[in-house]
Amino acid sequence: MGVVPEIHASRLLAKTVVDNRGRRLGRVTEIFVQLGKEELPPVVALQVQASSWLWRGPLPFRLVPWRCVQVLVRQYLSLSVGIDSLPPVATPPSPPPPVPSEWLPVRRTLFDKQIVDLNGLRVVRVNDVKFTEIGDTLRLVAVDVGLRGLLRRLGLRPLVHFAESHFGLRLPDTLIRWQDVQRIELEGNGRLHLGVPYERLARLRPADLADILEALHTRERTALLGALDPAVAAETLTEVEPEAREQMLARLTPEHVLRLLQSLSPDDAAAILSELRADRATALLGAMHPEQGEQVRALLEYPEDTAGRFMSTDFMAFPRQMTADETIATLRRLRPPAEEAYYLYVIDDERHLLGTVSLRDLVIAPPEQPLGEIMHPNPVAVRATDDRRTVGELLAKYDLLALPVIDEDGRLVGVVALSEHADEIFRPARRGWWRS
Amino acid sequence: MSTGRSNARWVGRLSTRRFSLQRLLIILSVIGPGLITANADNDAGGVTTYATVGATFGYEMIWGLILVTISLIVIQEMAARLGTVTGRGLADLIREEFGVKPAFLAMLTLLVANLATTASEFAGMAASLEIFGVARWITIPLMAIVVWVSVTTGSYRRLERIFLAVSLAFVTYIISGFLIRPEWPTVLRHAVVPSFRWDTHFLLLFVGMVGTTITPWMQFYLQASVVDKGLTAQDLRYVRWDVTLGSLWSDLVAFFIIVDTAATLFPHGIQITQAGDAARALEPFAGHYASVLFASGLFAASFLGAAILPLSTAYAISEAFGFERSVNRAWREAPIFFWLFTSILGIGALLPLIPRISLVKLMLFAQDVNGFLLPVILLFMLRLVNNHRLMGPHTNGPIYNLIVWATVLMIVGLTCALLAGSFLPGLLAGGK
Repeated sequence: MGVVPEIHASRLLAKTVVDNRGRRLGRVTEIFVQLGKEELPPVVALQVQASSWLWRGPLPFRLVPWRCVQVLVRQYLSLSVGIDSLPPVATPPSPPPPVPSEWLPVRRTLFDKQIVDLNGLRVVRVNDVKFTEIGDTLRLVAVDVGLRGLLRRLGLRPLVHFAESHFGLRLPDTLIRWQDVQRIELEGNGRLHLGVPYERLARLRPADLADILEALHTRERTALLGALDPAVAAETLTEVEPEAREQMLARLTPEHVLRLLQSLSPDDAAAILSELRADRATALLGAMHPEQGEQVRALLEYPEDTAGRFMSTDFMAFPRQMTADETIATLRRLRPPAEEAYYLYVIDDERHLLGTVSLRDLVIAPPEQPLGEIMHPNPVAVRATDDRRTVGELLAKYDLLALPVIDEDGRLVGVVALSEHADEIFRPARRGWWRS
Repeated sequence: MSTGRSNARWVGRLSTRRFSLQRLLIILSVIGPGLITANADNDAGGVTTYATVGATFGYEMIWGLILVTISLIVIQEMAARLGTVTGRGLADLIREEFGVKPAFLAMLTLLVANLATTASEFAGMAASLEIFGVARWITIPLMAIVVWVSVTTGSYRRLERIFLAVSLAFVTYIISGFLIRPEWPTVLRHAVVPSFRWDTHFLLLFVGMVGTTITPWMQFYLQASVVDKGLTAQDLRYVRWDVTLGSLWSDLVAFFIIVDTAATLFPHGIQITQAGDAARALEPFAGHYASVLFASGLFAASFLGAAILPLSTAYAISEAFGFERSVNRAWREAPIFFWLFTSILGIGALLPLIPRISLVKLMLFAQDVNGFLLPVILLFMLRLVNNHRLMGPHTNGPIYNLIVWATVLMIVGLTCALLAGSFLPGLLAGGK
């Protein structure tokens, strides 16, 4: 039988500690749990600090192992040992006794801090921490992020009880299981704390990561983005709201931004560059891989909100003399992603768009028939300078999944795919209304 | 694919621009929060307070305004620095650094001060339309609905620009100031030589002048806008310019409001009992249109305040307690934020509807509330800005600390004097 079946950190922190002969040691000022070995970390020690009404300066404190705690009676935690058998007292400014690195100070690292709820995929603020006795040890089981925890911290528990018993109000007890808690802890240098595992966070979808990043503080945002795999980070960056993206990019080093840009497709890179200040954009463009830089520059030539700006430049185009068989063999070899293979485009030697071929057309055609005979001529296409409204209207009118984009001479320059560019085509007014 | 020639053109265009305009681009991208926040200083309560100062005590309080301007610059710079270095809002920092109970105290302070200010903005709208003979019980409920709808539907953004432009009407006080030909030597003397009166009216008005120039909500608002803009410690140099220019500009307008009313109303013993009285100081410039000009400026400034105050209060409180904030989310997803915003707006609109209440007195009272409560927020800011772990090399220097402490102690001292005066009636010279 342990000391207490369940308790909140806020209550434990208010207790006065007395030894086996009733001598006061002080109040609990910190709770340490041991991370690593078990899924639910056990409470290992309390930091007890002498308290005084008069003196508010540095006070001596000591670490009390949790196994010495015997019983909890009202405001008192009484120990099974005498004051003399405990580790010696430390008084600031002499350094506090060393604590093993896998001991987590609950109050300092969790109380009032933002954490990511991996289950609900949102960022929340910790109001309280809940411990429950499991198999003879008190363990950290959940963090409280609800109104109840907040009122408890404010010392308004009686008010909650009153509201519940007299008015039948039911305040939600919003708990997040410890397994779903992701701490975002920064070290002094602004890097993420290495002791915190981030695997589950890194496995989230970029769109979900983007929502989480938006809700975090600027410094945490930047640090987290920096810790992600560059490909995931880049993808996440394209999903983030423009304002938040601007903030993050402003805080990343140019080398870092460059690394992110290079793992993006030219259209996504162009979208991000166009939001940057002109001098930074030029510098980054110059530093990019020459071939990619060239493609991005070409996209940036087009005015904002036109098909040319956001079209994708990776697409499947084949000469009209190519036979169905050769085309299928090429596709097998290149293995293009789904969004590049909705339609195949047929072009002449000068890249003029002649027609489209669907995969179905290709499969049912005689093997030796050239594409020029299989294709649907007069394809529906948009000009690179057409705006996004036109693109949306054409896609809707002809029930297409993707549209080829041509320049003023009818040459194929890119493709807009509904699955990839829905954001750009149907973007609503996304600015926050509360901002000035 | 595009040709190489046009690429070269694009890059060329950027790089030629870079040499001449790069610096300007950086400055323009940083400037804004300080100027906008400072401009919000001259809202209904601000204009009424400055006009009352001039009308009641002539040039006597000008030295006070100059001192307050110095603290305004220092305090606004501090708020902006906290934002750029930590990348966090003020409410956020208070919660994370001091815990739930101090955060509750700070938020309660902010809530009370901002409720008073919201009420004063509605009083300002009512007062400005009363000049045209529209009754306040029509103006206030109608405008409360208009503000609420325009904010919740997002059409506020468009209105904001129009009203910002109209609120520049108060700039005409500067022109008026030269046309009136005030006694500049006297003005100058009062700017340098402090004069002080130990009577309740003077003290209250002085606290009100401090409270309307440096308000609790501005600190939260400025820090939030600096963070939103993504400004970092590297931008500090420009942020300082922004904040300083903004503060100087807003207090220049305040200075001329005091000078104008001191030169036109004070000699004739005209008290500001209705908002329209303050318009008289504009007559040398605008003639018969003075009251129209004044009323539209007052209305526009009050409208902006009535929208921004409930919003920024709800935002700060939600930030401190971790409620969902409605940045881009639907109202349904942020119910507490929504109700906070709505009730602050509602209560703010109800206060000036109390029967037979004087709108001018309500506005002056709201500035006093802000003044009394300012030290609480300033003390939190001082603790934060002097925290080495948070601010690194950007903590306050001794002169900054001295100025802010002096501001805090001055307000606390005046508050104590006023309290003592209300308990021991003989201590201060009473009333007018």
